[in-house]
Amino acid sequence: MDRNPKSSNKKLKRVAITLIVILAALAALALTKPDRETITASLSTTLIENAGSKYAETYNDFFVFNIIRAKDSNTAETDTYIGIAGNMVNVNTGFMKTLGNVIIWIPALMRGAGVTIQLTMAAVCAGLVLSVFLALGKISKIKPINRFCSAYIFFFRGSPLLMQLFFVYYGLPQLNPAFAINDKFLAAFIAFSLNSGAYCAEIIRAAIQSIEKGQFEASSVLGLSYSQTMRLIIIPQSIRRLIPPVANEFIMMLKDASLVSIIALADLTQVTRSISSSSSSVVVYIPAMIIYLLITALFTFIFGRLEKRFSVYQ
Amino acid sequence: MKKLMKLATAAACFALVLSIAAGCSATASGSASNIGLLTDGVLKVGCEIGYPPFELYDDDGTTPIGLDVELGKAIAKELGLTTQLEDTAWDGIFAGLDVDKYDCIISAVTIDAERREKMDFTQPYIENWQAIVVKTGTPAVTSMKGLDGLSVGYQDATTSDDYLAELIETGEVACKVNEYDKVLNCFDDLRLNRINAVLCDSTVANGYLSREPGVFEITWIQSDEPGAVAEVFGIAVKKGNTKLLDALNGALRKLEESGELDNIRKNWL
Repeated sequence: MDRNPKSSNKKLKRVAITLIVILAALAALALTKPDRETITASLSTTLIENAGSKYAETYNDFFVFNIIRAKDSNTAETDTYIGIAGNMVNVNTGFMKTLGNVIIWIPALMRGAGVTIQLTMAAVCAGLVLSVFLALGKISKIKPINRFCSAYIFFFRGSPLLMQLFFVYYGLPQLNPAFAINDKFLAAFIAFSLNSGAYCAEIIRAAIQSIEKGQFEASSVLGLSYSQTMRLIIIPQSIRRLIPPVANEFIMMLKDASLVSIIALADLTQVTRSISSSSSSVVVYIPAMIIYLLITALFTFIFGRLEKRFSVYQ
Repeated sequence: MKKLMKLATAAACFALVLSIAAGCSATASGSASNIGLLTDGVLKVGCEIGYPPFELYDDDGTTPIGLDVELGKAIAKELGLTTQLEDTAWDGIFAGLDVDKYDCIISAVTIDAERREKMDFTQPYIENWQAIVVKTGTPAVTSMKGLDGLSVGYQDATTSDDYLAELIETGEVACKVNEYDKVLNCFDDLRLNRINAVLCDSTVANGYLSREPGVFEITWIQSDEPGAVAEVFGIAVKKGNTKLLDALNGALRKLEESGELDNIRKNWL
């Protein structure tokens, strides 16, 4: 920890200057990139003429640079240009072609990544809320509650998520049309959060039970009720202990989200597979895996921060 | 004496090498049984089971049935072989051919120029068109353009996928796409009104229409379009395996002549 105000001021200044320089450079690139008309004019006219009605054009603007691809759908021939800093760079051959492909794929991959992230976050958050009740139910001494929660956890941990998802989406409407969940994202969210709830319940139960029994005894000696003990003593301490396994659950769920291709929901894996089949190459798996790693890195960082923050109790 | 010993050893070594080489060539020709099979006497067939009426599991969930399954058996019988079906995900079915997981693919594979570059095909055994299927009682879609603004389902990486993708890319059609792993699930969702239409092979559509009469209807078929060319299905073998290709073509011709191929088609379509 840096407690000297002067040196921390200096550090802030340095960060600010670096940021301004980077922003200025980006702004300069953004201002000097060729506009859409100019870059369109550089495309091969023979290709456009040959293609006729089968002509397809893809244009993407990435703020600091843009890219355009002309395609003749009859012959699958393409002509691609990247526009950056006033130049139009042709990327039709070799490594540059691969790079151009990857850039063209990025918007679709990002849309897929958006679905994956939203589904993971929503499912784990809902699962966590659900799991608090399940965990308390499982350590409860009231028989029916205990039995129900144990059975729930047994079922959702013990059967494959793929089957649960399939059942929620295709099975429920066959039992009774009133149970039909027609929104794919909603169906995936329900299946994933029910499943995540079971896993998180075990994490929370383990965290609560890892607090020494003596603390319960001490609290009751001090005259605290059960709910007060839980709220004021036990749960604040267990939060720190459950952050690492919850982070783990998050990352597991991020990858389990790829199961949604079974219900035709276009997550990152599904988008990757369909690009791979339409381009008949597996190159797209490389940027896709990098995106997965970036998401995981972001989550790992956030949970690392949280862990530090909650360590004050220890 | 020493010299003689050396000579004898050398001769023995030479003989050994010769015999190994001879053994190798013998096994090579033996296992190929002259028609380029992976295992002697067995025709290993790759297919994605779950594409009615071509390949699907019977109600017991373990017996593969369908047009392609029957065709595979008929061909094997013609060639005096037994069949071994290898159920494979459609995603990667062609890669399996390259790495010798099976001898051939009989799985409603459309012959197109792109696939022809990567593998060899037998003569076509069926004709097929793209078709739009909707649920009975919902508005009919009578052209590809009619899909505009609708939610359309199709199986990933099929000719239906390619056909629609091209129209979307060139801006002729603007619809919401739903890519399924299995064509079965397209129809599941159509039945539940989750999607408005399914784009699939006309043969597949006809199979559904005949098995569940009155539920679905075909409202557009590619053959109505002027100048449309039929898609044809063929059996795919590894590029360059001409022995097997010739054997399969021979068997197909015989089945065609004897009318058995027609019977199989009539059974399922």
